Amino acid sequence: MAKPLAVHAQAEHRALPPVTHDEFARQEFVRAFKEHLVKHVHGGNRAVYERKVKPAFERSHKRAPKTRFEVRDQMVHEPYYQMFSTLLRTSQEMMWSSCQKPVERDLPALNEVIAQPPRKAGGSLRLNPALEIPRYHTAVDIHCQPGGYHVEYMPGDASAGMVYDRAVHVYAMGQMGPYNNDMGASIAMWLQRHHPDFKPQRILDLGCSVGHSTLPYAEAFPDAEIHAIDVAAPMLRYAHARAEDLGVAVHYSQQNAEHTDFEDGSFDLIVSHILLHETAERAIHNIVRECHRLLRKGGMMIHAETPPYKGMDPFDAFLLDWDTRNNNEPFWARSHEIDLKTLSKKGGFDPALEFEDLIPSAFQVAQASRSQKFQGGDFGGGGLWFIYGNRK
Amino acid sequence: MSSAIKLKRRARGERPYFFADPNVDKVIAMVMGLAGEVAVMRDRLDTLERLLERTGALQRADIDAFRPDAEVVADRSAWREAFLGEVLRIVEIEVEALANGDQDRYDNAIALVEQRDVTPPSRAAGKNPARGKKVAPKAPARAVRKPAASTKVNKAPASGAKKPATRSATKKQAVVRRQPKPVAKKRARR
Repeated sequence: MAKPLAVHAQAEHRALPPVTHDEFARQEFVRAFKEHLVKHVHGGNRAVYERKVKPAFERSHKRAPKTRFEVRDQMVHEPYYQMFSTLLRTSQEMMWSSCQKPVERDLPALNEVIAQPPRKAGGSLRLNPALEIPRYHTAVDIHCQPGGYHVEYMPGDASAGMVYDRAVHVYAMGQMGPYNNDMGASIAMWLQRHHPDFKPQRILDLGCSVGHSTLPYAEAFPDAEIHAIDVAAPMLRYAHARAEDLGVAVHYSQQNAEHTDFEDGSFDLIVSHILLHETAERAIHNIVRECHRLLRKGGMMIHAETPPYKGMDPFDAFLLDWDTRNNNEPFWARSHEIDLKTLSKKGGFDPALEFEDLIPSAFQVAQASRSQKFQGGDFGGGGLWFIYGNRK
Repeated sequence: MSSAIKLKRRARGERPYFFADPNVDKVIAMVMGLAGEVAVMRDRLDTLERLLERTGALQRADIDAFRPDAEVVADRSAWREAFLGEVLRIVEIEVEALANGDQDRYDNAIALVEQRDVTPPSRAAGKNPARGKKVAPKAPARAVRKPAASTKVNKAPASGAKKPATRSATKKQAVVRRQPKPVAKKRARR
């Protein structure tokens, strides 16, 4: 494109499925719809709560609601919240639909591009058709992407990745940057600022999907060898083609982060980006244990998530919890309540070295237009990312 | 251009509904779907205008300055009226039914066709066996509001009709169907 991109536009690359005029307009509408909900509808829930629901609760209970469950029990009866929720759910469904249409239009041709990336950057792709897709991944299609990450419609299919790459950009309303890479870029920036002497030679990204969070580590640590894994082959095929076209060498392999085939002590840095809440209680412990096994002495694991509910105002926690019930994120709530020190300890790490931080977004251009809140349906709107990690 | 492959449209997992009547959620989804397509059309029109302006075929200011003459006004009025007639058709049919005297309950038509020869039928040709008799049809659980036992079948069959110009049970689109009252069940919210 000759003209400069708008702040909220997605950067093109050759793996990204092209869109027609109307397909693009449809995606733009969904983005505008979501922005409108964030800017003009979302906040009304708090008004309804503060002025109506909470006073009524206080009259009948002689105290304010203490938990997000108490808030929810009241709020679900509020027509305003019902309307907000049905609109938000609808926006999610329209988002997937608007991103599926360009992919469906000529999938075999698009998959040919994926099979033979036009450029070569020196990365690799290793698939394992025998890998069992975990039950927590197949029980419901996470964040309502029809067919989830793993369903394949033809041999060599990458449709889930094609749909996802566009959809993430619409979902975050462009707040994660033109390459959707803000989570990885923000962690890399944080590492450079807070650990300037830390120079990882081998980096592993867990649950990488299309690799949008993986690539910024290559820029921050140009000498490092970068690996990334996911359970879903369609995502990895796409991720590989995308990275190659963007000129970044990443070694993708189809593996479950709970048990990988990498050698003990083979990585200096292991990262994940909003992976943990997509797993399950048992899996999350397995993943931390696997991180411990894979890290070298002095190595570091960092997981990005939305902030834990602990200490959060019950109303904020209730709103942040929207996705658990309404957007096919069954483990969201529980994963936000797990004691992270205990998680570290059980995984073999020293709980004294456990760290948690809210780190600033690397995509500062978007800051002025962000809501600067953590709330359901406003991904990347906080302008901060929550990280949790440990050192071996 | 379209490949034969159809992607799944529905995400696996129970869909939440937020209003007591899930149809409210559905209507909202329809409205937003429609709004989305209006926006797509608006963008397309905008593109068209910009392209035409670029080629010099049109100045966008001319569109705003355009004042329809009487003929254009008449054309557009006629189109709008036809359009509204289609969209608001559902409102008119009720009044039309009243005007036609077509006020029979749909249950009567069901009762009529489900009528069995339990009572000695008058087999005279062209005569309605059920005419003038009380019928106790097997009440269809679906659409009955009032006890069906007292329903009088007073409709002539379409064939041997005395007044062929009026009501006919086969003209289903002209019958105001009475649906059972919607059960305003509170759905368990997840």
